[in-house]
Amino acid sequence: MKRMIRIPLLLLAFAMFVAACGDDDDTSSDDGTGGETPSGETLKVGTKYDQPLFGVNTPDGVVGFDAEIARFIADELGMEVAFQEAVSANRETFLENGTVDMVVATYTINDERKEQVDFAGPYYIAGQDIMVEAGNPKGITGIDDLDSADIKTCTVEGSTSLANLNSMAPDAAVTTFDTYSKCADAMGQGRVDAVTTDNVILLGLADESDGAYELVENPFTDEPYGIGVAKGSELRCQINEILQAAYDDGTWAQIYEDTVGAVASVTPDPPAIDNEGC
Amino acid sequence: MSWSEFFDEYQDPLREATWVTVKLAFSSFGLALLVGVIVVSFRVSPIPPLVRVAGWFVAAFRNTPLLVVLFVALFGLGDLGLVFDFYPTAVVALGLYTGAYMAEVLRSGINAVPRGQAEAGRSIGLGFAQLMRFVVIPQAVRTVIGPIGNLFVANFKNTAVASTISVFELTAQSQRMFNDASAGVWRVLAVISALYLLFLLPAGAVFRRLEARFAIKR
Amino acid sequence: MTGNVLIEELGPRGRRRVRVGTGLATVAAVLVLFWMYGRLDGNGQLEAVRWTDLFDSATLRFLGEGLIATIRAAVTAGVVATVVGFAFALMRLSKSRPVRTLAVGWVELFRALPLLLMIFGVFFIDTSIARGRGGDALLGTFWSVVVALVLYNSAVLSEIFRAGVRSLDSGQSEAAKAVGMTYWQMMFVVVLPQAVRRMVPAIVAQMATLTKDVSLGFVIGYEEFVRRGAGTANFGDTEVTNFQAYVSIGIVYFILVWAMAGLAKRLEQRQSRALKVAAADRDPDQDLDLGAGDTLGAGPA
Repeated sequence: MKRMIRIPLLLLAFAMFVAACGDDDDTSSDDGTGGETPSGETLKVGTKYDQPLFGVNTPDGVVGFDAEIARFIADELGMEVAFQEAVSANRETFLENGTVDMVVATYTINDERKEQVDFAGPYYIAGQDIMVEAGNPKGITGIDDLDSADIKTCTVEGSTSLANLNSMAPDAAVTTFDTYSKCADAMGQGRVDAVTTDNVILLGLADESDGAYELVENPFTDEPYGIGVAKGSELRCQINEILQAAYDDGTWAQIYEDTVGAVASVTPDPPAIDNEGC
Repeated sequence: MSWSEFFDEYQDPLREATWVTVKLAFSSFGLALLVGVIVVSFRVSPIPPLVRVAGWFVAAFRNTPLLVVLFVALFGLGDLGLVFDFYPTAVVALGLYTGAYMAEVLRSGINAVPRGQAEAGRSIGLGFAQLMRFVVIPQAVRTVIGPIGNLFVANFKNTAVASTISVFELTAQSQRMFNDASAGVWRVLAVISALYLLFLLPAGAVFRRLEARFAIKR
Repeated sequence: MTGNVLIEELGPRGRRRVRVGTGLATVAAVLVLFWMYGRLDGNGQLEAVRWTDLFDSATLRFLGEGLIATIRAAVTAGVVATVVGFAFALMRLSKSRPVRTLAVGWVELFRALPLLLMIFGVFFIDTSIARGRGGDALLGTFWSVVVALVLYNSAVLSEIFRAGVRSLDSGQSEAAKAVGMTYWQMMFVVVLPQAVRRMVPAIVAQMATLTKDVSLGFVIGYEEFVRRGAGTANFGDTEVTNFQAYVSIGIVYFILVWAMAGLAKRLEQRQSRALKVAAADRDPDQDLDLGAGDTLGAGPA
């Protein structure tokens, strides 16, 4: 009788053991020095490692727009840059506990985040855009063209992009998948005419398609990307000055053309920096 | 959002999504019956290549997740230049998938007829067709009603997986509503579940009654 | 086919017909294969690099992690569902009416809902609770998948356990009562050990179905095998397209589930041999044997 009860318990314990093995996703090495200001000669930077054109980890180091902006800032501060992967879920934590000194990781400025961290910049205005097949066979120029039953538009179920599409183009013929790459595949097979979401994601897909897709480059929402620093850090105003100088002497445009410019044809004007409190 | 606001907003989409689910469930199940009959007739035929092909077909669909079947049918065939719309792709993929199970159910129905009966039939001079018609099939049909009912329910539930290839049925509708925070996750789950149960509980009951009525008492 | 009692021993004409049928079927099969080859070749799907890129070490690692994630979810959910299903089977056999009703309600409800809906339900409820508290999600994708799989499979497994108890000869429980055992002594000492052993093949078969169903974790972003497979076409610098990616994950899944179903089948055969020895004098009717044995495979959902 006792044995019959023990077996399920053993099984349960085994299940928990199996479940516990490998529960270590997203833990990045934490050297936890805890300083709020850059310590010594290195500037610890959090960036994305998987965002094509913005931050990608390659055998030759981290490359992309965010990575180059970070390198430029470190240079101007006279420091060495040390990259660390930052994923969307841990960016605030990394800044608060000093794992990194600054975050340049397609980081949208909003009020909720401003309560936890400070933002330098913005250094780039992202926005929801439209991707079409190379040569734009349907002649789509903006969101208004999607507002028709004849143009099939693909986006991801449950995304902000779908909500924006539904409110700005209520008559759109919408197809949804669970990832944007499936939308791109569907467009490659002629199932849909357009894919819409943040231009940063679309630029990455266009980049991977080796010229099969292109962007309309007419974003219809604004998402300012900022450089996150710890709350109250004096880095913020220093970075703002460096960014302003890069805007003025054309360095910013040069960095953009060298990275994102591989896919985007139009180099935008740099956004106005928010210098409040400096 | 109150219940009346909830229904004002979602009544029409829910009705449409339910209709898509029901349409998909019945058309794919009809196809599955057809596929099952064809495959099982291959399997009991005396022609070796047909037996083998039918065996492969059943094994392939039984051991692969439906999700993979749907993706191969949509994106895989698409890469071969065979591009079909989402809904017909879902009907055919579901029909083939459930059809493989149907073939097994029908075959086990034939298998359940005692060997002695076939021998008795043959000994009074019945040919293959007569034997099937008068002895095997009438008994086999009775034993497969229950399992076919289970397959109907399973197939109906499996229509949910079609939401992954952009067929906007009930589960896709649930996903959209889950993403609307004001709709309330518990309410959405309750409403969508109730809509599924509305069809599946009676279907289960009907098949159980049919089974009881035609059961062979031994 | 030999051994098919539905068909009389074939005469010369019958044998000729079978030969003609075999020839026609073979020709048809060759034509279909040829057409498929043309389709594949014409779309460049047979270029070696499209397939060899799958065996690139980074790609294999990427896919391997997905396969491990699938197995981890399957083992965890399988074990927990077995324990929970066992508990519900006991509740259903209980003498207390409310307990029985609760168990029946649970089983009937969770067997009747699409697993995909349950995965969404668990995941979104988890997310909304986290949003309400302002913290991290309690379950996350892994446990959302596991919880949904447990809800569904515990219902199915409890029915399997119950069927096992009911399949026992009533003489067993009568004998237990005759020697003065209480109800629970009878269940745990006499009935359940036999019933559970008898149901082991059915449980293994259900585990094969469960393993197939882990793929549905895909929809909430659990990085299991199919999700990783779907990502392969877009992973790194690879020539792999959707066709190679999905066909390959289908083949791996096939081998995995087929092996599990094969294990269930072997266990069942061993058991039926053991049981048949005991039942031989009671059931002289053998079933029709159509030559080809059962096709190995898991359940539909």
